[in-house]
Amino acid sequence: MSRETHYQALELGGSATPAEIRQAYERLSSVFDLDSLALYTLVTPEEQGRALQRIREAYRILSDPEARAAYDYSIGVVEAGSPGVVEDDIGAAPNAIESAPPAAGLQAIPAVESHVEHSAAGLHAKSPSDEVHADSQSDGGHEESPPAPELRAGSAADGLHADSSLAETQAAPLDDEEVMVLGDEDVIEIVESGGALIAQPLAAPSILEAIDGETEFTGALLQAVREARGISLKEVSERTRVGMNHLQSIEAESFELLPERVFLRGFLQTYARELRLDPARVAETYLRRRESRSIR
Amino acid sequence: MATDEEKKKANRLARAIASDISLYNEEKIVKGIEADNFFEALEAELEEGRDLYRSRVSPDLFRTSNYYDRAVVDIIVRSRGHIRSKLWL
Repeated sequence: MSRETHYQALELGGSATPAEIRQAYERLSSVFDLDSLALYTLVTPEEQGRALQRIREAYRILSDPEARAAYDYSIGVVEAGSPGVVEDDIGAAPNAIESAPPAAGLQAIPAVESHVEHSAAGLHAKSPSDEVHADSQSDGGHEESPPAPELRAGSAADGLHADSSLAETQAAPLDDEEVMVLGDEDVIEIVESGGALIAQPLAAPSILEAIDGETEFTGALLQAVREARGISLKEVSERTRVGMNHLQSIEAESFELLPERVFLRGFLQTYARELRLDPARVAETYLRRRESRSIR
Repeated sequence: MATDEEKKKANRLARAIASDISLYNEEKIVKGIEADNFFEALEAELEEGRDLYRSRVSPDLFRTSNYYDRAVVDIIVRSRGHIRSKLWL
């Protein structure tokens, strides 16, 4: 995985205007301000300092037209508005400029973007932050007018990550070349996440079927459920705003590294919701487990 | 008698705790306000937050101030004044 781009650092698309860049810089600077209460317990002061430094570095480059142009060239972003540029490919998704490989067993095939947009009007509610195009910048795809590949993949670990129009796409008659090919192991389900419908691998039934109202949730079980759902810790952290170090400590049951009960309860409930488990049950059983170890 | 600095730190701690509760319990808070049972729904979180606050400030300051309760109201409840609820009546 390559280092995030300056655009991603500021949560912007490649076609962001100077005003948008300025706004993003000011917003993120205030979020990561060293006195920020909102980040209490979430990140260490060192992490906060690094994030601030990263934001400033990104702003320094992107706010300078010449430096930005050179940077855009170096990462392969074609200036927005140039002939032949598909605006959405660059601008709509902050992650669009960093390609991610499609999930194993899936093939991204040139296809049906326009068909999908028309047929699924009103359903296309995907969050820009979730959107990572599966195609590669290096092939110069943005210079060409043919529609973008249909399949969009967040990451290999994410499994298939298609937009809400997937069902429409599959239901409509398609040419052979438009068919999304799934491997034998790619059993998927459509779920809602952050206002968008995404397709993701079904969790291994054996794990989820074993969970009921009496289940005692351990760190290992949470990890198993997460892995069965094909979600990486990094993705959980990004979606829930719970720090990676805390998630790792939860799964490893490194109780001595975990924060006070009031904070841990919040982390556990948030994590449980992400895994589509009962938040109250997860929090209660995990906290009880920690109490029984008499660490705190 | 608590110094001004101690009071300031206590207030900051109270607000930080309330802020974290607010951040990680959005759904529960909204439902609690909507159903007008906010304090019952968040009882565990609020009490655990209070326990933490109590453990970090002097007994005298804890007894004679209400920074924690004010922080709960200011940060968790008041910021959601747009939610329709009997809580506001």
